[in-house]
Amino acid sequence: MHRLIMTSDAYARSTRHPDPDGLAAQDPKGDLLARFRPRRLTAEEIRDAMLAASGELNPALGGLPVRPDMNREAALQPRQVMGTYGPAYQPSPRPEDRNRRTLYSMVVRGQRDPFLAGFNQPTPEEPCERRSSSTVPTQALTLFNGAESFDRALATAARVRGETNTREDAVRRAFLLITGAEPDAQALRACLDHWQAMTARHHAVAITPKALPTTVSRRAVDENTGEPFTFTEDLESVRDYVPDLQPSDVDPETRALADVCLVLLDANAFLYVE
Amino acid sequence: MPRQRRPFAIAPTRRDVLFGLGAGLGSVALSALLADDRARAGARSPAESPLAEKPSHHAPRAKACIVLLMEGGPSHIDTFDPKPRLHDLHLAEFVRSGEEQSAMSSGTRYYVASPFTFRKAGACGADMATDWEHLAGVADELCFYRGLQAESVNHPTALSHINTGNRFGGDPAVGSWVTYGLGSENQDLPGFVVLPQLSDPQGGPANWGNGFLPAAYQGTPLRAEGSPILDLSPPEGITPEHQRANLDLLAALNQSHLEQAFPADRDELAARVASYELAFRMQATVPELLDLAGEDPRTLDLYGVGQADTDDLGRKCLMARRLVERGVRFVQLYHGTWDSHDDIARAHRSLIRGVDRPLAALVTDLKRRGLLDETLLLWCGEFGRSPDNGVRGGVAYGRDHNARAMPVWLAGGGVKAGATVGATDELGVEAVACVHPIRDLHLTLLHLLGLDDNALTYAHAGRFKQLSQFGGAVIRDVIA
Repeated sequence: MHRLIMTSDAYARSTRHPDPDGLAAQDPKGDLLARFRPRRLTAEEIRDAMLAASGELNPALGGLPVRPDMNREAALQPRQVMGTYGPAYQPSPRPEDRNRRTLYSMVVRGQRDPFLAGFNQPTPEEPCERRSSSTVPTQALTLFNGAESFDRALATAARVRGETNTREDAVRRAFLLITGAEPDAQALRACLDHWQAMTARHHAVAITPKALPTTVSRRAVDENTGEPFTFTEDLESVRDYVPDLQPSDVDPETRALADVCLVLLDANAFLYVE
Repeated sequence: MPRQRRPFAIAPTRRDVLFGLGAGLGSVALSALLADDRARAGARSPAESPLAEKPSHHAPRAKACIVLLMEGGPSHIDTFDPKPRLHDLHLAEFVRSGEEQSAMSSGTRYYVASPFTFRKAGACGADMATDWEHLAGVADELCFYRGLQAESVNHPTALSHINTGNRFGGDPAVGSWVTYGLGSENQDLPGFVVLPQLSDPQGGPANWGNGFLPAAYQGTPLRAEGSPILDLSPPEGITPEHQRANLDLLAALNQSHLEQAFPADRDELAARVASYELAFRMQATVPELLDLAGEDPRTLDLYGVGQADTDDLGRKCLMARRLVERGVRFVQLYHGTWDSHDDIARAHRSLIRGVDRPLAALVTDLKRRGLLDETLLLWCGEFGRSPDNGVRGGVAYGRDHNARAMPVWLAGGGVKAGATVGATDELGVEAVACVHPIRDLHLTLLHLLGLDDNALTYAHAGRFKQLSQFGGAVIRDVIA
């Protein structure tokens, strides 16, 4: 049934109406649904689509919940639970476990993934009959500065460089993988220029691989004394952690293409279904 | 009501409206619905973000609110509500008898006298433990309220209750409701800012979550350590120029995408473009906000910034003033943990030493800047503490949780200054005069901020929801 719907002529039709003036006159607000109205991807769709573009998505079905990467500061945030402190969030050590569809992510009510919460994933405590789709600047910070989109941009860049022979084809491929469409001439030119400019910048920046800490020191207030104390927690799964592709693994040219990919992952052409 | 055309899945259906009428909210619900529609229409325009200022329901007494949440449950008996009768009963076995049953009443229990001494402070003669050296100086600005009752003796449920009006987590926080109702004056900062401790309180970020309200109304924590807002800075090695270059490419791509979009879709797409520019500005404005270098050294000293005991809350209180000054609507800060089960003399004394000076400074500083009249302050925990304790009674003794009496004070916009309202019984077991549940405190906050709880509704899960769940009463006795 899904296949029938999704391969149908009506479903595959462009949202660009053949008669925009007539449409604007007769249905200015789109109330009559003469065309599909763009909608922003949901939180889970954004993450899954990024992983799909980079080729890292593990599409396996079912199984035990997995623990994807989470913003590291949020993962290590000390949090009080009854009578003690909750353990740090530790992502699944293997990329093939982390990079499953978001549907299979473990949800800890007291420690939600800020990426997903920020993009309006409903609160897990209550039913949700309809999601909201706010636009707030913290979403821009998450997608533009966060490790999740940086990692996916880097992996996408490495992927398209491996799959293509010319710079132009690499940009076209990145565009297609991320936005689902080929770039027009102007966008292609802008991206190629940007790649060139950023390559020079990346040649000037030395990248040193960074090891993840295997312990974390946390501070809190003692219930009995009202005074601060510190404690150290062992992050046992870090020892087995296999990182995703890192900047130090690739050349400056790929890192520069990752800048282009990052921009594409932040573009409305990616974030909205049309 | 004219027959509504249903434009898209977001608009309320006829059924939604009828549900509202059927629930007995009648025209109130309908007007809220229309207001909600306006809010949605506003949200679609980049010029009017979801945080754009909205008219209040009635003339407000305060424009902004600061909630000083003493997480863990501070004791009323050892702070602002002396119980001399407990000295007669000290370490006598606590006898269970019906109404006097302790909230945490397993095993043998003993009455515990307060190790704190009390005095009358200010012209109003407020009861305060003598440890409150600085706060006593502003006693005539405060309204002590002894009538509040919680419903739960467990931290996570009680915290959720005081923060969201629902013991079971996941509903919108008070700050979310307020920013949903009023928007915020400053569009370059979040409208609801939280200053948490190093460790998240029990229940975690759901304590300032937007629940079923749109995410624009969630509390934004300015974290105590590390990045103040998650992902505020780009990864190491990415300079501002580097980031600007990426942003310029993004702007160019989005602009061309926008030009090809259907006119009716452009507002939302343009809002997202604008949000990137705002995020870029926040990378400068947030560190500027957090940088106290521009403050007068005497102000820093007033708050106790730079002194070991008071630095933590001093910075938070000063930050709360700076946020309110910049037009942020709702600020909540956390301090704790006040969960002094075992040694209340030591723990509460240390905690009071940490908050006394900063709290007094906040009241003093707001007042001298002319901000106290338009800022509502609420100091409370999630519950109070019991006059009796379990087997841990002895030389070092503490108190257990008590939902039926708790210490609260309010100050500022619209609040009676220099007053003590309500009363607890002679042992501090429970509130007996001017008794109100937490939802009435919430209603009172909304009321002072110009909002009517019955009109501040949001259609969710088949009915119109409101902060109080099902209505309540404003606590008139605390209002000037």
